[in-house]
Amino acid sequence: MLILMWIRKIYKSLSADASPSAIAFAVLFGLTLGFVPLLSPMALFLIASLLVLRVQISAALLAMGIGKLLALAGLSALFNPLGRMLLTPESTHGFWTWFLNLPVIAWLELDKVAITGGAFLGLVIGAILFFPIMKFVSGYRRFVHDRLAQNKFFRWFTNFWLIKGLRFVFIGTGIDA
Amino acid sequence: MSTQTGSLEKLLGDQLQSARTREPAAAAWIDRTFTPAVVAALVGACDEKSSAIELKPGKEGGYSVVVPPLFVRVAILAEPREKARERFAKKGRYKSLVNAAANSWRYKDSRAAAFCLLVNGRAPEGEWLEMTLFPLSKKDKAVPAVLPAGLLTPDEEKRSRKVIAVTQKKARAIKFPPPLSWIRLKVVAAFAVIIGALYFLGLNPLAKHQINHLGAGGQAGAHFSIAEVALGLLEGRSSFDAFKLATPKAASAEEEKERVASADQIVADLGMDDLLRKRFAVDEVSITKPLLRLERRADGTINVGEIGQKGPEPTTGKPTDWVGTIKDWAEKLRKREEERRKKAEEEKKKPPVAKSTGVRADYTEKVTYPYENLPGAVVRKLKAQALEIRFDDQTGSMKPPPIKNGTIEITNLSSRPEVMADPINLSISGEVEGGGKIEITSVIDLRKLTEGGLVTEKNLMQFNVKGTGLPLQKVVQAFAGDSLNATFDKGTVDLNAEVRLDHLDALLVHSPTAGSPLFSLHDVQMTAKPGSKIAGLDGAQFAQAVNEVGDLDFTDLEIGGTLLKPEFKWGDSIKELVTSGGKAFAKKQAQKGLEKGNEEAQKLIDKQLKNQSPETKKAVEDAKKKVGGLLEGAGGSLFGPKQPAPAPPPPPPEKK
Repeated sequence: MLILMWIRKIYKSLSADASPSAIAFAVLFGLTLGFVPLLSPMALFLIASLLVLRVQISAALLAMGIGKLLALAGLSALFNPLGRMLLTPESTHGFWTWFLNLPVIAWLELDKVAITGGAFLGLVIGAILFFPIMKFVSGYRRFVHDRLAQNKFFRWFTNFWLIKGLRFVFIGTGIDA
Repeated sequence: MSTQTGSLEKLLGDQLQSARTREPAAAAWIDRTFTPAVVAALVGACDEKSSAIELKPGKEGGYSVVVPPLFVRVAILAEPREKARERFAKKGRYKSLVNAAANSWRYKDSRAAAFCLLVNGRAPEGEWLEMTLFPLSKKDKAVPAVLPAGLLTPDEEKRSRKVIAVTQKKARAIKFPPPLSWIRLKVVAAFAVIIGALYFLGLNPLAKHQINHLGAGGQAGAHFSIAEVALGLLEGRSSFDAFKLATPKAASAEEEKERVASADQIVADLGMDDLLRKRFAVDEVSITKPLLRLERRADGTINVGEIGQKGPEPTTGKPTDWVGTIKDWAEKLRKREEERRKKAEEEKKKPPVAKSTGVRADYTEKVTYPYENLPGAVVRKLKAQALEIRFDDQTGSMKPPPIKNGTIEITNLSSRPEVMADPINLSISGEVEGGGKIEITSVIDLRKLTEGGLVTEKNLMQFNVKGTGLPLQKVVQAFAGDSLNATFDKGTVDLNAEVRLDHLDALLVHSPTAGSPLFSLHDVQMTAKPGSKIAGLDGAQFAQAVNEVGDLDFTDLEIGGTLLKPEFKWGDSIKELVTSGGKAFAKKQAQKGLEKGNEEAQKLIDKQLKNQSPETKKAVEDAKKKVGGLLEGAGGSLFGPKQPAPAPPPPPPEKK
């Protein structure tokens, strides 16, 4: 049931009128969230940001889930070396001393190398995926809604009761496809 | 909502063509303005499901076009830049695009506005459509300025001017949508309501409960409680009423017995900027009516020593007096400091530990350099009025009298005094019950100073202690009875001492001004402990001499050595006192006193006679001659010829 709900949410995210950039940002936030411990101040800050900023929450949750899975699969081994690489060079000490003592930032525990490493990795992957996701969402909408939905064969095919049933199960009601 | 892209494209094309035909003079302008890109951008908007432009079939054929105001803005903004056009062509929600575009571009070209007017004017049904042009900044020029003369019919132009007039009026009133469209205002409002409700209704009781819960357990190293709390985080001013502090071992039944401190109210001005930077800083703490209760237990331990500890304070063996207790404390502090330093040095010497290479991230690994020179907690100023310090002694020794009506002020208190810019300053004053006042000012300098790459640790404590009329028996006897080789039966002491404690060990006690007494005894009666030695002399002889004198100044005494092994450097005057006998010494002291008095009086009279008439001066000289003879027996004439100045006190022994 949970998987079905996820599929429906993903479909809704893709098909709804949320802007592609909101989805791309959601993925960025979600991945970052997936790479930091959930009970850390950094994670709480990201969750609060997700709620306050108009980004796609379901997309963010999905990205977070994927991020957690990736971390469990072994990506978390990169967090410490990456954080060390960022925080320890002598030349960056000035910047980090200033940055880590900024209001609010000081509470995010970025002095822990694994958190900085994880957050950085999440941001980098999120940034790399940002434009492809935007393009994908735009392309998907254009294809499904503008072309596929107008396609006579598709219309005929989706009129079968089996397809309608499957659509109800996987996609739910209230969405045109 | 139906969308008919092709139709709109055709419609726009027809309108432009019609305009070209009707107004040949404007043809060039139309071509220049309504480039295929502009037309494509507008047409592209119609592809959206949430269409910006709605095309409705008209009653007599043709179409009516509904152009929402926001679309107009997008059209204006989208036209000048390629990127904007691309974005606009995407299937995003146009409202977001508007906001994004509004943040990125400014309306600098009113061609598109003119286009909108044109579309309006040439609407198939001849209607003026619902359209509002919002200039995107105050710099925007009026739209008709770019319209070529004769482009519109007089009627159309009149109507378009009307639209523009409305637009400009609206534009003045309009607040451009800030980038808040990226913010869920409802969620922010919900957060604000929750936080507000918590702040105004529930935060103070919650804080009180949490503080009292923490204090009741004693896990924080003490038992404490408060009756009321007002956190006042918005104003940055917190207050706590009826504060009580007891040792961690205090069970609820014996809380009163184990009480260490209490205060009617504590008000703290919080440094909110520091709090946001994860540092606890208090700009000022005011404590009203603080009461400190120092208890020395039968086993020699002191109640304050247990504050901050989880277990009971270890006993030091045989109980000593308060001075002994202070020495023990200083020794403990010194050892703790040494251990800390050793540990820090060992940490530095340690080779870097092999970092984790497993699959799991290690969340304990931290960098510390960003906080190296920052204290975690700072109290910039702490002051207390109506301070009372009570002493309880369970060892059977004499109980020192309480200090009342005291004031206290401490500045630059911090969790890491070594990184502070200024040293800790302390000032305490109060009245001793039964007579006497005491005033202590202190500078505790634990800073680590770096000059030219050289790091020096100050570790210096300097106290200036001033006391007047302190009862010897009640105060000195009670505080330092065991440490002294004599007991005091009566008398008072005036104290003016500078105490320096370097690295919590090297001690130096002397008078702050050369020639003035370190302390003076008045009307003293003392008894030496049997077989004791005082100042290297026989104790009994010393006591007898002092008792004969009664009043005595200790000018040439200096205490050096260490806190645990102080070295008393007595000057010649004490030896002279004992060897010449108290009475002779007293006479000599009196003589000295009179000579000094003479000098002072002479100076005063000379000063006063300076501007007097010669007759007055002569009268005074006569009076001096008459009175002078009377006072000779008391050590010389008060107004007589100047006696040679008394020999300066011998130089203090060489400091080690």
